[in-house]
Amino acid sequence: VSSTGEHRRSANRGVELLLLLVLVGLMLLASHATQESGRSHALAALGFLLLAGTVVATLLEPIGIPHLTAYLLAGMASGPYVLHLVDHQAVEELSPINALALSLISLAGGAELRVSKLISAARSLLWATLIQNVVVLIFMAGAFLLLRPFLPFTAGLPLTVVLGIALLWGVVGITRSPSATLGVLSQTGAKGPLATFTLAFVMTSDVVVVVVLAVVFTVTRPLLEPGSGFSFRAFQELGHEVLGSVALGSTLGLLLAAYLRFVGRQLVLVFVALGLVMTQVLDYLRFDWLLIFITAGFVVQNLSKQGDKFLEEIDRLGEIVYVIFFATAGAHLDLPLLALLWPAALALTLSRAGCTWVAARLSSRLAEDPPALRRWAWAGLVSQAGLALGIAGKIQKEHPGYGAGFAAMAVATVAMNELVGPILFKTALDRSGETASHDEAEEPTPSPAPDPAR
Amino acid sequence: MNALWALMGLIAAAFVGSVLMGRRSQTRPGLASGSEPVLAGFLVGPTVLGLVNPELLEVFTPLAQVGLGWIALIVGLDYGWEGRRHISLLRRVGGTLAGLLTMAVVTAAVFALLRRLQPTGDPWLQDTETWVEAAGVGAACAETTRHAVRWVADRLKASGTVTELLLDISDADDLGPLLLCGGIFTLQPAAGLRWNTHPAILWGGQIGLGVAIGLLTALLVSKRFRSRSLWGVLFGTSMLAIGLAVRADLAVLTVAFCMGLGLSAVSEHRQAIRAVVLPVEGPLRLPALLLAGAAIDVRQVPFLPSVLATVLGARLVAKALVAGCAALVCPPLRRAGAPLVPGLMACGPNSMSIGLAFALRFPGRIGETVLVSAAACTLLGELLAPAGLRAALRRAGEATADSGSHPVVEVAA
Repeated sequence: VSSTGEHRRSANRGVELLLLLVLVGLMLLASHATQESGRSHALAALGFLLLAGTVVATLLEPIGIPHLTAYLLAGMASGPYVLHLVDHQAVEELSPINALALSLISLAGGAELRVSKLISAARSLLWATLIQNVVVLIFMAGAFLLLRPFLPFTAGLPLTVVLGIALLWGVVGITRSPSATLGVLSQTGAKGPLATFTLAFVMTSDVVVVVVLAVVFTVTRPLLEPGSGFSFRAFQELGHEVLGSVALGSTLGLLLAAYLRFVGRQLVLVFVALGLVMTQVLDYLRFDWLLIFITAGFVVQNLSKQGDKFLEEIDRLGEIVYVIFFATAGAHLDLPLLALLWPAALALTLSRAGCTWVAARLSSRLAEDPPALRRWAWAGLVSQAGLALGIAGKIQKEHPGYGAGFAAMAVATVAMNELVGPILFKTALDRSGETASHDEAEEPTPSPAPDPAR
Repeated sequence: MNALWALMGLIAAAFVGSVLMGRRSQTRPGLASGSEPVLAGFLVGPTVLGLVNPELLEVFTPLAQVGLGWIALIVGLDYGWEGRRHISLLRRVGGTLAGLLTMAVVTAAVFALLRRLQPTGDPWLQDTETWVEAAGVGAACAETTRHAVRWVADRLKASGTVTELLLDISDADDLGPLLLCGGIFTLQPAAGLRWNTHPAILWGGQIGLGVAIGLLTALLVSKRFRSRSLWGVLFGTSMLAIGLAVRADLAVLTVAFCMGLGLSAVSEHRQAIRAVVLPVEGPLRLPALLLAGAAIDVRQVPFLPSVLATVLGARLVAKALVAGCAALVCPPLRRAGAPLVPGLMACGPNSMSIGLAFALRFPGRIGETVLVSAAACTLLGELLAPAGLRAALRRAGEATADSGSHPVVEVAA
């Protein structure tokens, strides 16, 4: 039976590989047969990334590669720098879909935070938040200073300015990736102290990073702009952004809970309205819509009885959302830049992983965490994604001189962390025994339902 | 109107569509053809209130293409099936011939009129622009919508041979127009294509592409069939089919319809796929019809009264021919009598989809003529068809309810 099953699995993989080749062939034919400009390629790109990501994830599953990493690899391979099946314009045109995906991930992230679990992990979370953010920020700033000779954009800058940039790099270092965390948890169905801790830490760290960024911006302004004094403008913006976002998120959460309670249908359309329309409005009003959606999800989960239903609805879209988000991110990765900056980027990536490991061991010891957490807590904190790039983009905007080089380096390191982080986290969940068995994670085949439209 | 507001409007329309679709097994309120959004779109469009301008509509072109593609995909998946009952081959052929006959008559009439009103100087066989315009109108005005037939049958609690025949004909007559759309599109060079290809090869290519992606979907679904994966695979393959068609300036309707046909023909999970996909029809149809209505600009149609009179007259004649032929071949239909002719005049979502597809592919006179003709046929069908169908089913002795004001049976519960 086992041999037959193995044969069947191999045959299935063979067919899936063939299907992937057919898909690639179709896209190659389309790119040769159709005009490059003037027509939108986004729809075909969206379909291709979704299918290629799904098939590649299935193909790489047996060797333990997490789905997210497979989606990224599929996106990178089909993107503008490798096979050119998906071009720059298409990647740009897909950005609204990415906003939709990210809004769903944020809602799910907030809704996964149950107060009871937060309380049970409060001691670990408090120590980890303190140690991880302080140690990683300081050590990454130090690593940046040490690697200064290999960072061309710092050449010729006074030491005070480089110190300011290093502190900003430290802030980039403490960002994590809620989307990667949720994506791995969604795939593995993991449950246990490590899964709970990582999710809670990563979600709350988003808020912490926003606050730390405001503090560091204020502290480094005199260093980066000689002659300028301390300005609390950043704190004003922070107050507007964080408090306003939390207030808006709470209101949205209550509205969503009421909708689920009294209407409870077509939530997909509500998600589309939130992800495509509300994100634009909130961006315009300069609120942090990620924080708003995390808060809204948290409110639905903890202040109403609709949390499970809410998560179930988001989970139904999970497979599509994660593939699109990460495959598009893969296609977006600037591989030539990565090839150019890889030595310094690799050194910074390894430094960050090392700092994270040290900080995790220290905080686990202080919090008297269980052994699994002591050993593996760091592994879920390596992934980085959008927030790091957002901060780098903001720095590039405010300091155009060295900002471009800073942002390029951030892109290169985030690319590495984005690729390696999910593998580390999945390995940690597997090793700590929190991953659900394959049978549990897979849904049973639904029986043909009665025709609902008639 | 701002694009964000317009998007909110479309999402709201999709929501209303889902609510209405949810009620479909009982008595769906509103018009028989379900084409109310066309009227709403027309009111906010450039002809009446001017709240929606062509630039704004252009922003929504990808959404419109996706909506059209999914509507055609659903029609393809559902083709040859009435609920859980498989429509016999003979009836499918009959329904297809009915659609093609109507299309041919309307096309011929419109072609003759346009040659007279807008002489191009080209020999009639080489007058491709006029052929595209006339055949587009013919394709858009060929159907008898199944929505109206079901609407009346549900309200009258009708059942029997005539009801079944009407449902089957109205289901099967979509094949010809949806396939021929692809052929008509190839008559004018596609700007999106680099290669010059013979129209017949390009037409075959569209059908082949759709069927191939349908087969690919069936394979992917069979390998890892889970309800979550199913959505991802269906969404991905449909976007690929629609996207490739858009990229090459081909007919989204033809490619997506063929994809649905291919998938339905070979997938062992056909019923489960239909159960997942059919509920999406309502949320998609309403925004698509709204966009179609908003795209109507009668100012761009020269000789509007003559064109509309010809289209409507030709359609009436064609449906009379269809009713006559059908009564000759199927004796039970004779019991329905003359009211069958206005009864077959019902048209709606598919016609408007074809109209919108032409308006997107041939912006300006050609596209608007097709779209306005589709809207006029929908309006006339709304005036004539419900009464005609009611009278026909009563005369055939298959209506068991007097009035249509109460909830009735579920057609395929």
